[in-house]
Amino acid sequence: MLENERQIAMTMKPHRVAQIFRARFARTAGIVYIGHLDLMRTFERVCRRAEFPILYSQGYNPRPSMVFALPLGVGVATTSDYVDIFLEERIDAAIIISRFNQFCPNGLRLLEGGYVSSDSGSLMAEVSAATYHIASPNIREYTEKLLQRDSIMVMKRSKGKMKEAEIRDLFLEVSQEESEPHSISITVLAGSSRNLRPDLFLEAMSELEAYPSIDKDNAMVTRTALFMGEYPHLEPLSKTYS
Amino acid sequence: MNENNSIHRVELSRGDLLSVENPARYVGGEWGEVIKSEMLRQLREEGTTSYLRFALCFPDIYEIAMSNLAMKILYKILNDIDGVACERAFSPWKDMDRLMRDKALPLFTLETRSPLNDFDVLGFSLQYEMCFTNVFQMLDLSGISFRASERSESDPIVVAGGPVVYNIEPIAEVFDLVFLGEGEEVLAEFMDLMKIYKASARTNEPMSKASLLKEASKLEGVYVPSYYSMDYNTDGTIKSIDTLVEWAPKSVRKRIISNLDCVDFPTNPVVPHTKIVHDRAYLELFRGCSRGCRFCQAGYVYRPVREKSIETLCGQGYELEAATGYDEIGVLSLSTSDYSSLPEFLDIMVEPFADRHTSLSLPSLRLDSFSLELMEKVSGTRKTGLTFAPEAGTQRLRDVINKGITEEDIMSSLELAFAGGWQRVKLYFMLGLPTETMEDVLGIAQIARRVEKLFFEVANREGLKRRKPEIVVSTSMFIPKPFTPFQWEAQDTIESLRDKQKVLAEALKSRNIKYSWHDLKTSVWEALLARGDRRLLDVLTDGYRQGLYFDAWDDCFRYEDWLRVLESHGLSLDFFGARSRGEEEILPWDHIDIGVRKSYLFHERAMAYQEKTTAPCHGGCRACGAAEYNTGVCHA
Repeated sequence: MLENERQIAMTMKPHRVAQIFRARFARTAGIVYIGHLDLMRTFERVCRRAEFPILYSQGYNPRPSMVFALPLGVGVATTSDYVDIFLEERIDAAIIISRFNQFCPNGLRLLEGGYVSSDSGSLMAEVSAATYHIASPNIREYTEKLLQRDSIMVMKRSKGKMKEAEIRDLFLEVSQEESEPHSISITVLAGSSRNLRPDLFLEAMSELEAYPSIDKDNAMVTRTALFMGEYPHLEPLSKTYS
Repeated sequence: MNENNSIHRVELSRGDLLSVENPARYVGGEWGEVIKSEMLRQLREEGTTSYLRFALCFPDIYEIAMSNLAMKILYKILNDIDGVACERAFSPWKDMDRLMRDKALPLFTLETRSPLNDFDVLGFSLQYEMCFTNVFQMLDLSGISFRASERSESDPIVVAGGPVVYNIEPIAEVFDLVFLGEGEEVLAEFMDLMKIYKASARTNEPMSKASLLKEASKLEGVYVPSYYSMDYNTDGTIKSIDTLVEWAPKSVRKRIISNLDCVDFPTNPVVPHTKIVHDRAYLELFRGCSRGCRFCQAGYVYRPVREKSIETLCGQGYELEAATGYDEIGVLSLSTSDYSSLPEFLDIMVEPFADRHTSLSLPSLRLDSFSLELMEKVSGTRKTGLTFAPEAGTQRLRDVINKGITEEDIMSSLELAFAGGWQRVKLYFMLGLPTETMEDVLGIAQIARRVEKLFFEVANREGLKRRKPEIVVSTSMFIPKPFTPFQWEAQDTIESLRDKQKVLAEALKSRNIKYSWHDLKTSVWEALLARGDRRLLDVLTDGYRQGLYFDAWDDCFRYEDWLRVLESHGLSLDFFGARSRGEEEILPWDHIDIGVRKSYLFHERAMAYQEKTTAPCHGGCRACGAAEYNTGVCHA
């Protein structure tokens, strides 16, 4: 009986249709040194300060509804990351961006964005590849050497245990700018199924090619693009709202 | 970031930051951080600044320091002053400490990463005795001498404040001056003096540090340790406390804020990027506590009780919630239930906050049917644990310590709570209280047992079958503190306490009761520091040089090593801890005046031994002496 009543009550509850604002954001400066959970919390607080009509999750401990495309490692900057912010009502994109930037700490910035339909796929599931720009002495030469290998085995932490993993097939493209002799851009598989973290790439270079560990530790890593689709038909995630 | 070399900036590489635990501790840049751009411009273009640079120092790690309300208050007060730039500096955790020593990097502020040596004033907020050695760590990493007397005219002025400074004697000689009591007003006055001092440095007749201290000592609440000397008897007790200059007052009076509605409160504090210990915004309800529990230092040193008006409070609450984005606002005071307009305050705040998914947390509630209702109101349907602090196991001993809570109070509130669905209860007690016997110790177990039995009775009656209570009994060791009626008491010994813990653990055996206790050694060392005198400075610096610091962290505190250092200086633990003092003995803090008279404290001690209670201030003045401040509850 009780079960039945609850079911009726649940069906009678007005179904809340979220307006999903997909934003592209950048992070630089000191705030690159915070972890993903801290970044999420920071986003929540910015949205609360900016007084967005944000939708809260249901349940015991309601949280502002927000989904990030792909967690950013501690120490990794970005010029192109994505977050879905779930709102109760539609607000002009320009207003969201300017208010967010007015209330967010230094180093964090919304760049652009737009609404995506609520039946579009989950942002996390869309991600298929990412580009990382890595600035570090002699990184080109070492990358070339590393990628000449048919197999690149690294030790990777998985479910608390260290396991050996093959990462050679995660590399998609390597590119470089003439004006920046000590940097490189790598495009690699990314997302929930197959993902290469840039620190693992640097680790492999250090382990297999004896890349100096001081350079490895100090390499400046910036995520510069997130893609959807299957290689070689990658499309930037910004396609979903523009 | 290196626009110009004239700004000293401590550079940390990405590799440095990624090699330590939680690098967010060291990067600053949080929401609410204050950086004075005009000061930066001056530093860049002229290499020097007219701004008074104040480094607000907290001798513990970021997550602890940023949780402290005093830090937020002082940061705001100082930065609101024209021409003052206040920045934060904290203890780097051991990994960063090692890295900085290896690379010869000085300790820096979060705002501009300037070394502490570049500042005019280093102001330490001292919240607990066990942080003393981390003051040395921060000075050491900055290349600054520990003793005020060893520092030159060009070194920063080093000052301190906070609840621990009522007996700062163990490290008093570190500081040029110490602020006693509440800092909002006196700090601003001191900054005025500092401006004159700093400006004079550019003239032909620079003001000396000595004359700065002389001027500062005229401000109420300023204590200059170098104006006093201690002479000791052969038995180690103090023979006399003498003033060394004619203008030094015989005793230095603490400063308080008369009207809390008239001082600024930080409604836009720094919001950390990373999770800290108390990750919420804080709203201060009132200062002081009128209960007069005889073991509680806060209950005496913060007198008289002064409330904020409900208008001020609500205004600050709304501002705080909007400006920080926090989803939890904690109200802060020594005894929340005693705030006279608490029901009205909650009526006004709870609903609008709930609409914004913001919760209020109410610590320090005395539990009764009224506060249970409040908790329902603020926490909605969430039934988190209930906490009681009876402190002692028998009514006799509760009368001795003047803890105005009876077993019936506890049981009747718990009956309501259990019927309302609560099942987790925490009970806090102290072991080693004056006059304690084994009967009192076993009384703790009896209370816990009664609570357990009550739960099942209520559960049966209400038809709440198959549920079990979770009862946690926690004991800490009584630490006699200065400026309490128990300041003369001997502390119980570790051996005796161990026996008591054993007996209690045996008596508490039940699958529904968990027993936990604080580390005894930590409490013994804390007791030594709390009632220590100036002879401890050599002990503490010596220990620090041997790597003993972060004493507030159980896994860093090395009791046996400390005992060895103490003995090597010819001092004994028992002299400071397990020794009761006579009424006539000169105490190391006798030249400090908190408003409450020593004779009143001694009278309260006599009352304790007669097992007589003293009613709270509200029911009529007990003539403790704080009425001289003529404000708050004393002003009625």
